[in-house]
Amino acid sequence: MKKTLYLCVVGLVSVYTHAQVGVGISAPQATLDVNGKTTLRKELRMAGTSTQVGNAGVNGQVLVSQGDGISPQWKSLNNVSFMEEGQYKLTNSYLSSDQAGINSFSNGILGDSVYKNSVGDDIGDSSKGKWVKIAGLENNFTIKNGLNRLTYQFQTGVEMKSSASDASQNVSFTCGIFRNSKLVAVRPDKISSTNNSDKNGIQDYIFTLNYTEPDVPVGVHKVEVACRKINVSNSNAQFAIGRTVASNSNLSNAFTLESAFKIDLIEFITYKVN
Amino acid sequence: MKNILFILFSTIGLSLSAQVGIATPTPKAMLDVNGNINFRGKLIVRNAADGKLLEGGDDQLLVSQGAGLAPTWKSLRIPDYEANKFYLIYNNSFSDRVGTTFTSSEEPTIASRSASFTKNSNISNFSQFKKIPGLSQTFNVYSTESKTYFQFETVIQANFANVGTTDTSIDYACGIFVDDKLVNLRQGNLKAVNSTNPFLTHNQIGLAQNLTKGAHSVSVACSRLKSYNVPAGITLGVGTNVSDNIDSFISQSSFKVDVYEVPQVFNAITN
Repeated sequence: MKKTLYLCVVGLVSVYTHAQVGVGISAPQATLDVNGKTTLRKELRMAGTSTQVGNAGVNGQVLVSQGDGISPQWKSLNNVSFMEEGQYKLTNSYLSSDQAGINSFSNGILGDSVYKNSVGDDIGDSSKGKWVKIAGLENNFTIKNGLNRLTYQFQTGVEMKSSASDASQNVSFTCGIFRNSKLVAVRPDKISSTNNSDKNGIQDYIFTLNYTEPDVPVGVHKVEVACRKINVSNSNAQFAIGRTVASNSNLSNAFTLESAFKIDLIEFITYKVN
Repeated sequence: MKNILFILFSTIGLSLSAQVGIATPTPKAMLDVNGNINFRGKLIVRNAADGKLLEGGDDQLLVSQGAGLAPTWKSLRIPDYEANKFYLIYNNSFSDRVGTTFTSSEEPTIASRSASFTKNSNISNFSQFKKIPGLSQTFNVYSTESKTYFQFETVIQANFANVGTTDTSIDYACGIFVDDKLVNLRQGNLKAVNSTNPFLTHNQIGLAQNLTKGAHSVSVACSRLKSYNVPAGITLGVGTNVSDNIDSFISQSSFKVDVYEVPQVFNAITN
């Protein structure tokens, strides 16, 4: 191997060596061996020759190895897009449903008369309401990135039966999302029957909660859905969430009143180092 | 020679405004290496927009930005795959402004709603249910482990007069059907109020689990189940206005289909 360094004029001054070159290393293992960070300020061209400049690729192509002895190639991806710096990306979704619902709110049970809640209320603190869980909607998952959004979507059927079919009665209630047994999302609502005796006092209703919680801490989380009865115009009215009331004249079933719960975890993407 | 360049590059530092050829006398670029390059450290690229240096993160790919610009490190917009987790594979959404209307004679006779409204029941069993035209669509499932999520929203209106002594109301139902089999049904009740032509927004979420792999059709069909103290000539509208106190834009229907799968199909992504 010739060990010669040429300095010659090719428009500009060129440097030419025919040996293996080590940068930051005394025993290079390749034609150019760089023992440190390498910065590219312009394009990286592949498979050029002495007469032909290499291929810089077109915007969006990725560098794909061709194995030993062949230079890598810029190649296009099929129908796959890239994340851009600073976007939120959907990481995972958790979906669950339940047809058991809550049957402990029915006639004879008074509301808890708690009209206010705060973020962080404990599910076991009865001064914050008598919460009852919907068992089938518990989800456990791990969050790995502290810059995130958790989006909760919960829907359930609600049914009541007034104690007198010719009297309009109502029940106010609320459902909330508990993360690690602490309240993170809550919405109140109300169901009212009609005074038309043809309807037998039965009323069906749909309750929906949409809520986004930002920057949930990294770690394992248990997310549960619970509801409570706030107030009732007549305590003899039957009331159920996510299931039928006891005597509903076959007007509905557990399927039409089932609960659905979806959690979307989106995370912030960043790669810049300085 | 190795030693000379090693000394030059590492101890003195080398700054050339010339083109450098390694194992070639005719460099075609600022650095032209006629052989293999071994990177023992990071390959850093300069972002021309803000001059920042990008080192890339785990699993990022080197992506060309064409001639004249440095390549850049990017991540694929695909999930960081973890076994047995569900990922959003398919989603699409649709809307409809045509809707459907029901006269008083278009009510089904249902002996027992609890017996009739059952999962997987065929749409042929649902007399007087009408499909919302623009929401009959197709979607694909690619895995045997999937959860499909549907969200349907519409406006229900009736051209009721003001409420009287006895409440006036109509029971209605909307069902989501996959391959004409029921996957979700919700009932509601529209009541007369202290103004004419009342309306409500109906929001419905349904889930279906482990649909078979392949193409599926989905549709939304609604029905006027029963009227209570409703005089003749009252029309119920689903996804369309039946009085000009609102319009077809306000009353339009929207429908979203998401398929979450434990991925089973992994395509080669380069060509």
